[in-house]
Amino acid sequence: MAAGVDPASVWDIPAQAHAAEALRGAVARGEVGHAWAFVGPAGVGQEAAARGLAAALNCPAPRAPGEPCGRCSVCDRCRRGAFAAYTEFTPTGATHRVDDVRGTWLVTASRSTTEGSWKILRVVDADRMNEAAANAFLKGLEEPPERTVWILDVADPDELPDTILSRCRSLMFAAWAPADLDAQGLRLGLDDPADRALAVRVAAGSPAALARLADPGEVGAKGSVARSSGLAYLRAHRDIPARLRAEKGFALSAARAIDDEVKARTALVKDEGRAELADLAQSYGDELPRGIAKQIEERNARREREARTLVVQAALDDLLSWYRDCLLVGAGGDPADALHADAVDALRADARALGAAGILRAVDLVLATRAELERNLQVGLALEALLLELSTLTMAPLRAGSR
Amino acid sequence: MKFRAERSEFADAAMWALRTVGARATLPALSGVKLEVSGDRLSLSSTDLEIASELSVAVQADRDGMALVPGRLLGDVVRSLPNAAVSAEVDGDRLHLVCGRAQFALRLMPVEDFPALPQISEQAAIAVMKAEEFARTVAQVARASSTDDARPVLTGVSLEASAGSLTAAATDSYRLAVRTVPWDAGAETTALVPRRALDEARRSAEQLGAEVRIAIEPSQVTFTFGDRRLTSRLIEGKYPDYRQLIPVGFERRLAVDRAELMEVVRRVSVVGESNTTATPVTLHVTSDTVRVTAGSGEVGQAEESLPGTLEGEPIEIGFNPRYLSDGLDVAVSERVVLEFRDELKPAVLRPAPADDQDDSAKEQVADFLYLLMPVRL
Repeated sequence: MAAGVDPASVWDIPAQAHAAEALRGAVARGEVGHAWAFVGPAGVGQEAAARGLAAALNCPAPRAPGEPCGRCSVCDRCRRGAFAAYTEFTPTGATHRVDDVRGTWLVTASRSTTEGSWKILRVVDADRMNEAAANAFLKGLEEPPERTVWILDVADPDELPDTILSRCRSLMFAAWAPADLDAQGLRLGLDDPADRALAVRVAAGSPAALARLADPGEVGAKGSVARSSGLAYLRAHRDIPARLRAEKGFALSAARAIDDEVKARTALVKDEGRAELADLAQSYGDELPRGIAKQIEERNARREREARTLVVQAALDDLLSWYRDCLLVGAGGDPADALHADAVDALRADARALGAAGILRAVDLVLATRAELERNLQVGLALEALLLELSTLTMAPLRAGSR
Repeated sequence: MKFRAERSEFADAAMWALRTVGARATLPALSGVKLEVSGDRLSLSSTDLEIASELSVAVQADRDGMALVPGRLLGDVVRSLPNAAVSAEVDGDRLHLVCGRAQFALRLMPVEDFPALPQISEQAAIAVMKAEEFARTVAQVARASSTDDARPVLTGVSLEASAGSLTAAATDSYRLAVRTVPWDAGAETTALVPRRALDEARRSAEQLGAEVRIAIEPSQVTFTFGDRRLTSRLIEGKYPDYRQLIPVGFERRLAVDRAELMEVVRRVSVVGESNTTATPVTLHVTSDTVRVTAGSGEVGQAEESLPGTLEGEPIEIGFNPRYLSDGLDVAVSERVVLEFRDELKPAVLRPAPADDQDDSAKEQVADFLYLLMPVRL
């Protein structure tokens, strides 16, 4: 970008320079093809890339081949996902359904565009197509209409039939590098360098995880649940092993704390969903058309479910990373390599108290619970069981010492 | 934006624009109607991304500008307006509507999110048809299109323009309806129009009368009725070559009263399972009688005869009663002819010109054809 007044390029996508360059080059060479699989962990830049591609293919006045102007109405609406020829299909329930594929996706694909010359159809969480949906979609993919580009967001390629993947050009989306996360952390208001460094390490390449850690929390106002900051929750999680040793009956209160956290953080998602629905209702005059309302309510229900799972999983992952660091420090590794490098003394204390065998046992228990939760086990009970077991573990070194 | 308009004209315009208001969770702007004042005209438009409607009315304009207002709310307001002149003005994020002593403030939506609406290009193939003729053509053909989204091309109606004629065709692969009408544009072009859009255009043609100007372009078709315009996106893909399905010649030809056969088919098919249309009706055709039967031992049976004139050998042939009735319904002549080869090959239904009609009327009925696949008995 030569001129300083130019807005940022649509291809300026944090941490995805490689993918952005591949897309820009494909547009510039006129070799866009008809389907791309964006393979990588969800939420690392697929949205910006897909919308960038929509802008690059439809901008009426590109700065250079493959480089949209970034300032016209088309570019602006593409960036916000509000351009008529750009459509995102999100799963309404837990999966993409065959009715949606036939009744919406393929119909949209079959229509000519009246504004813009290229249709960009992005399937979010494409690996959540069930078998019937995948088969129906394959038919559409086999006879692609002209100037139509499918983009499939795929976190786990094994979940999609090869017949679909083999018809797509795969593009890898990488987890974010620490430098990218650090810059993002600053943007999100993590001003304290130590806090930011911790959040960047724990986020492990995921901007979404970083955003959760950067959540400043909320004092419980009237009708809303108080929410601690993301980092406060993290610190509470990693304090669990030590407090299990020190405080009698802590296992149950820790389980309750996580349960409260789930409620507080799910409330946020719930409120967002409600606000969006209210906003939309206003746009429609009084009430939403039934189809749309149902669609959004189903999607919100799914988001809440996901948020619940995510909070519990994050808590367990915090425990796991803590135990991993205990192993590292206990085995004489460089504390600078630890994710929780800011709490080396506490790591050492836990490592001493548990011993390598105890830590490994704890890791096994946490992993087992994490796997069980994926099978829809009751969260509260599972957490209580886990924490009670972990608290017995912490007794082990004492017995070992008395031998 | 500020203008004054006559109530009934404004209400009528708003209601017409409201018909293509969209509903899409990710693009709320589609649920709005865009108002734009320029010069002394107010234009109203809406789109659901498949069909866009646009019209303009003369107003007393005080200030140019545009606004996007929630469609449903606008509809509710417009329906309840008292009988007085309407004045409207955008103020901040509201559109203030005053009509008599009634005042409304409608919250505006971001107008920049409203998609740019398609314009007719200079290269478009344009022709003018009588609205009534257009409406009849659509009514005759569109019903044969498919409702199954699995094959999008079959959910549309194919329009094929060539020098002097326009051919509309639709098929769901069980039946095919084709109508050719005179067309005064020379250019050869084709368009595959979503059925819903054509039905919308037909309703406008029926409502507004006069003439319809049809403009066919590679990615859209526009129907213009005076100051009103409907534009539809097209279905992309290759339409099946239906002409090769139409048999050349026939071995048997039945002439029969249309209304009578329809009545008989309707009565007899009652014994079919009511929740399906799959129980066929059988036509037992002899030289001067058509005996129609339906049903099985399980549900019940029915039969009824009517007179008919057959040229050729007697035949027994089964049809899906709904498809047969649909064809009879749209054939619009007193008598129809059914041409058969044998009981497994497609039959062709055509309107039969009455003897006392003049030549142009004969031509009119001769340009419609309805082909239907028999059901194997």
